[in-house]
Amino acid sequence: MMIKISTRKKLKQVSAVLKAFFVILVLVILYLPILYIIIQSVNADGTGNTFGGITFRWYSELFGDPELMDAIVNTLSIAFISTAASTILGTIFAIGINSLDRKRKQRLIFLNNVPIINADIVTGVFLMLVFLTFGRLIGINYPLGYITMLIAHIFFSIPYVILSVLPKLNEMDPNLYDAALDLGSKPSEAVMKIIVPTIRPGIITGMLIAFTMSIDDFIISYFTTGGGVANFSIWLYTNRKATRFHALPKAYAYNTVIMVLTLAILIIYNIIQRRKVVKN
Amino acid sequence: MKRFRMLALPYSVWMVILVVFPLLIMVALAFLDIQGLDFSTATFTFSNFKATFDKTYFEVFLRSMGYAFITTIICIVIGYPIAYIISKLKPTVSFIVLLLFILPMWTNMLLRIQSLNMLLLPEGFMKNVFGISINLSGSTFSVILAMVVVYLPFMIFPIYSVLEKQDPLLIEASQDLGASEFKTFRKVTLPLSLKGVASGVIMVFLPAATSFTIPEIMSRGKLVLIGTIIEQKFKSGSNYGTGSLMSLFLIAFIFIAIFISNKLDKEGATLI
Repeated sequence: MMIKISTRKKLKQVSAVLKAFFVILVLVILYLPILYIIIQSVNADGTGNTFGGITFRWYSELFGDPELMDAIVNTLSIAFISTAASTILGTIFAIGINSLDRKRKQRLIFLNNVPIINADIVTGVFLMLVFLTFGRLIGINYPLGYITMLIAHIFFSIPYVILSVLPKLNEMDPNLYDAALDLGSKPSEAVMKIIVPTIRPGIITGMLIAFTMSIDDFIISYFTTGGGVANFSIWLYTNRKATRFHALPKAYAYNTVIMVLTLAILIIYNIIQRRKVVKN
Repeated sequence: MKRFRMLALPYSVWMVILVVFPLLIMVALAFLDIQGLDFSTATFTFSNFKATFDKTYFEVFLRSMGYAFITTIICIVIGYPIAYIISKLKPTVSFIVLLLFILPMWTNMLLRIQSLNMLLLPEGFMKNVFGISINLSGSTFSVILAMVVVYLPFMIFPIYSVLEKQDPLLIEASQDLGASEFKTFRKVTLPLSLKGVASGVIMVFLPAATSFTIPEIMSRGKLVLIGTIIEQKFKSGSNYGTGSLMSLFLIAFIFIAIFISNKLDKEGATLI
């Protein structure tokens, strides 16, 4: 009996080690390209074929490349504006969807799922066709550019905000809102003081997803922009073979900066959340 | 709360303009001989059908499905055990491991694909610095590898979110009734988690089948998939008629996927 228990214990240990090994192996494969990006961002050999010592040249050269800087400014400004717009609009729409009767609610949720599941390339072509058609109607032959790319980003971000906010609205007691009205607060006040604080976690999740989707997007942007307006991904796709300008080392440097910044924001956000929990 | 109903109306209008309207344009374009969107000189035709039902396009379509199918299977085989292992960890540890799987998504996807390609070059960084020559750049394997690396998290998350919500009492009950650990998994855990697997399959299969950046970069321009063709029709060229008809075939598949996903998960909870 004693032997059986100890072998079982050993088996459990072996399986735990195997499991950990499996997870770590997969993580290593997922992180290899990222590690490569970080190393190459400080590699003095611009061709990236050998390791020529550490340099921060690519980080400073980022600012000396006007085309790349334009692309970066476009990427970041679109990410911030589209995240703000889709978070606000998505929350308002979610409140609206939540108060519909069941049948209409399901119909709109179905339509809301279309851009999420739809292949990016089809969404991109869809939006391009709409922009070109409307452009023709108002007499602009080539409407594609910054504004259309921004609208596209707002379009594909809203569904994620709605999906994150809806379950929180579902959990909310609808009587709370009516009670606030009965006690004499204005509808706008009741929304801001009762509904928004209750669904805040959903809003923040939606906001984070919207930002992540926007800053990384290539395909939908590629179809909805034009006239030389590029974001970082489009710039990278067109310049990935241009060795003369050291396009890739600069891309590695930009990406490393963004990675470190997002990680820092995430850590700070978590610390603040923890402090709040401790305080309460 | 009924008074908020009108807030949903602008969203319905917005979605009709940006989802339903372009679908109608596409249907119209499929029957037109048209240059760009110049409707004034367009004529009615069936020639797009002849162009689309071409043997080469059929092969491209099958090839895209093949690549997506293999990628999806590998993602299930790797992703399910990982989701299962994470769901059994202590909450604090599982949060960190899950975060480790989310973090790569904050690195630009194109750059990750590009870097993966560089790592597989025969005479590149790996050979000169580490003495490892992999020589898989441009191969079928490298395309599948990139697809798995990029889309694996989309398989892990929906499965994890279903497993995590499972009632542990069910498993306890099964074991109390004499089922072994494996039998409990097969009869209780697995059937209850299939919803997550289905969501994961949709989230991996469709992007893998329609990607044009991964085949373009990883095969170094050799591999043509359905996304490549649609990109050529709409972006590099302006053959919107044939492009529309091909996209409509793709959309038919996508709508089947959306219907399935809607049936499984009315609120879309496993999609995020």
